[in-house]
Amino acid sequence: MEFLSAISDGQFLAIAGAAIAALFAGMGSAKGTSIAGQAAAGVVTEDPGKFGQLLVLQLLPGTQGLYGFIIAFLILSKAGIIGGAAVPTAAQGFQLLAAGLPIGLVGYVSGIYQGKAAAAGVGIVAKKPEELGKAITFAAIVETYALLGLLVSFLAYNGITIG
Amino acid sequence: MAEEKIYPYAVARIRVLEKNLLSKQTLNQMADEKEIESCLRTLTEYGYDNVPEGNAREFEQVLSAELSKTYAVIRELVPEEKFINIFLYKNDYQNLKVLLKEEVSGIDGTQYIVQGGTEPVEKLKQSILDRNYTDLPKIMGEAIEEALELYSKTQSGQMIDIALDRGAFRQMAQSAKESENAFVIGYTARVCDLTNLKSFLRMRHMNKDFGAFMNVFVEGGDISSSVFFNAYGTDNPTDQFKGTRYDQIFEIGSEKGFTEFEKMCDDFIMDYVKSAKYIALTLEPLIAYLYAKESEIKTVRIILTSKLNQISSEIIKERVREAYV
Repeated sequence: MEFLSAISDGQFLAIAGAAIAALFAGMGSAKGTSIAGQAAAGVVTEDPGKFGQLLVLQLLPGTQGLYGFIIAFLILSKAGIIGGAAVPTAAQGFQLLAAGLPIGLVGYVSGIYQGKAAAAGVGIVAKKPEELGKAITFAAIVETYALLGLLVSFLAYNGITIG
Repeated sequence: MAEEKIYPYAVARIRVLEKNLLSKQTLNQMADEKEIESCLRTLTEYGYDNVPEGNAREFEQVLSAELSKTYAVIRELVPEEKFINIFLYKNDYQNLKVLLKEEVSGIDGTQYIVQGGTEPVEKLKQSILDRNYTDLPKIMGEAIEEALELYSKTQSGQMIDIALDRGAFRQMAQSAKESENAFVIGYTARVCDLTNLKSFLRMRHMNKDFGAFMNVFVEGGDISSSVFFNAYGTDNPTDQFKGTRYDQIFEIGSEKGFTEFEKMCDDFIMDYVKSAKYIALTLEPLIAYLYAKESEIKTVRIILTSKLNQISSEIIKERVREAYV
């Protein structure tokens, strides 16, 4: 019984929500920046002068992790884990958990796919450095969905009142 | 969800290297040059190492060095991948031909030995000497045995070539299958099919019977021997190849003669390989680069040899292959 009450504790559930947001979005970004970074390294091996341009492409899939971190931080502070706000009830804890899901999951998937789009963009820059803008645009389209995930997470979070 | 393995680093490096591939336009310009020295200068410009300035006859070393360099880059990029062997087996089998013929004729064939096979030449030599092929790939051992057997029956050195060629293609097809990569499998099937089509035209032209064709028929293609059998009997073989991907090239090729047909076959494969240009993360661009480089070196060899023999630019240009870029 103690276990059941522990996992239905409002603060625990809020931490779980924050963890999902930070964990998955962070993993997505790590994978994405790794894929793009490997591709960039391939080009730099042959042509070190392209480092600056390629860094931009590698950074693009890094934003998901940042979004996940923001949501996680917000959830933690609303649940009173950072700072001294009121402690949420079990139901509110579940709400905060749910609020963490969109950016966590969308961040994970979009991070990886954005990494692949960025790696493909690296191929453009390898051959036609003047087309960097187009390469960025292709990869940046994937960003839209990470942003939408962030928005939904934020709206949900914003609507939850504790106390 | 089984995800295909991705190689962002390797593909990106290949993308940069592709910039140094000679375009068809550059190749045609080389064909147009008056002096062979200008051709050699172009090669230096495109990253070929140690191009001789004075003695143009030394270009062969430059070309084989460039090819070895290409194999080395691919090996470095994807050491765990076996597909590169599909491009290397032809060197092994070339060496086997030389070694077997050396043995049966007693004439030294060292000058025909080529580097860059999957197995060291010494190992091949020893295996043949010991008649023990356990260290070699199974298909290779079988091909050597078959070659020796056919030779002892016929006393014809040509049978050694035939048996080993069949072995080479069987080995390629086998490796392609093991790679489980659709692009590699498609590539090998096309190479095998086109080899058979070339044999088909040549054998018919020489008025040989179907048995003679079946001798040189190689496995591993998509077109079965029965299609060739049906085509062999008719006056209009083009109809038999309708519906295959080769109908057009066969139709034009059978009218224009072998030189043109061979070029069309090379261009056909290049066309297939070019689809890899639009693939960003998986193996295909690496395979395509290997083929592109082999093809480029072949064309450069044609151009330089023709130049040395004072063949006119027009004729050289007819033989210039499609380029990857």
